[in-house]
Amino acid sequence: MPSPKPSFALREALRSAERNPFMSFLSVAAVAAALAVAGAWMLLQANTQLLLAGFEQRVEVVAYLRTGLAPEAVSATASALAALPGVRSMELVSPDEAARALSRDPELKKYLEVLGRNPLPASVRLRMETEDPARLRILAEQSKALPGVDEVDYGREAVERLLKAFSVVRWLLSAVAGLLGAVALLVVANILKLTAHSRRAELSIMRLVGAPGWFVRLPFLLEGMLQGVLGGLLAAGGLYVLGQALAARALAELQVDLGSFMPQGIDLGFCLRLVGLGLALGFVGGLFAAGRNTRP
Amino acid sequence: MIEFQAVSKSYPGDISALRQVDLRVADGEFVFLSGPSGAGKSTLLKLLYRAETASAGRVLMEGVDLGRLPAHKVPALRRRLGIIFQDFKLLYDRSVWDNVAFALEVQGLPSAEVRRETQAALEGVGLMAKARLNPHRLSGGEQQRVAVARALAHDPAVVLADEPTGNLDADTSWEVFSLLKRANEKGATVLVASHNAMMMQALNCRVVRLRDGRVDDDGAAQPTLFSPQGVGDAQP
Repeated sequence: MPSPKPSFALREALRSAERNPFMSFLSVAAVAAALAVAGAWMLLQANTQLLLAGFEQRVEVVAYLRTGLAPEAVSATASALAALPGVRSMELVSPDEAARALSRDPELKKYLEVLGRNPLPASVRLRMETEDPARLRILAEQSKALPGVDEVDYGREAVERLLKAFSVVRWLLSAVAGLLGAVALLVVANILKLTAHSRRAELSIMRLVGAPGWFVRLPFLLEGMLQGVLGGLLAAGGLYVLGQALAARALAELQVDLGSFMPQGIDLGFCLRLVGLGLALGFVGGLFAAGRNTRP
Repeated sequence: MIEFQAVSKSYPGDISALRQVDLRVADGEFVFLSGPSGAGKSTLLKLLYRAETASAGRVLMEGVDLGRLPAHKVPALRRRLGIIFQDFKLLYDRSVWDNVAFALEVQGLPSAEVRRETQAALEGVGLMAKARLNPHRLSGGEQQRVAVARALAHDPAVVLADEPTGNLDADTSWEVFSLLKRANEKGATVLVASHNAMMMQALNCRVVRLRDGRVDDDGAAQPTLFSPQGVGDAQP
């Protein structure tokens, strides 16, 4: 038994999308709002990952050696530190090198001159393979246990606070994005359901003349997907404009180039991901709407 | 062949629409279903286009048990039927032409054939001159003729009409029944639920009388005085 041609089904779907422009606008706006938050989340996620990766590469443990150690003891301690598990590389800084580095600051240079001697100990900078703060702490403790080591500094508090702040912001944005996503899904589904309800007579006639289920459902799916794509484009455009405005303001008022903090910007790939997300959201909304009103 | 075998249909609240109905309709027959409101005429037709399924018994069409027809095969069943309602059930957001063409497009016919058949169907009901109008701009009789054109355009094997002239005057009723009779003469099996005794008499067809969900009588129309001009006036 033949069934309707897809071209006819597509024409019917477009005819349906032309109706109820206000409802369609509401639906698109709901999707756009949800996707804008989701997009902000994606941007934050990507940028914090990239920033953290850079930051973590710079994370190092500095072990200050006891003063007065013989050169052999310094080498032995440095080798013992380099052999600790999780150490990627090691750099030995002699007291003279440390003093030269310190002397770059004129104020500190003055102090050194007043002292008349170099009080700085030799130190060993250890670059880590791990980025886990818990592992850093263990490594610091192991370093400190070595006989030639006096003090260990690894910026523990700063690292831990930063990681915690990122995780709280990420968690908050995830929750808001999830909530708004669910709201957008409900709004799209309910608007399409209202459309289906207002067109139930027409849908019943379609079924009575033998239109197959997919044919009756298709307009709802296409309409949902269209609204999703438009919502995605609107969200990407909104985020782009907002991002540009923020960057301009940051540059003008704080002399900060936000671009340098955001390796992941609002590029084509990002826009496509948002539009794809909108498409999926609209499709699911359309499926919900097509449910009861389109059964034979 | 259409066959009802001990068919009962009840609705929630212990409402029985049909009780143990046995009925056979041969291919090419023209059958009136008559009886007072609530007798079960519409329910009987609904079982045939699978808007409802029987609570007990079997409804067979060409040997297929419609109660067991899977939902995904229902559209294909309906594409073999022509269904006409008292309230026309037209699509009011499109033209008369599009209403008829829609039913043919759903059949999956090529565009040229859709155009040819739509034109033939509208010419058949005398409405080709109004093809571009919206159904809202037509009279009740004209709207029903559009519905008839839509139902008959694809030459269905079975035509089901539920009170097709309930809202129409005598002359228009006669036009509509003439169209149904013509479809029957071309080979379609026609079942019409109607109160119109004059029309039953005029068309001299088999009449199945229903009362309280049972077949009360099955035979020829009761003789009455008949004048085609006054058919719509006589309601039993």
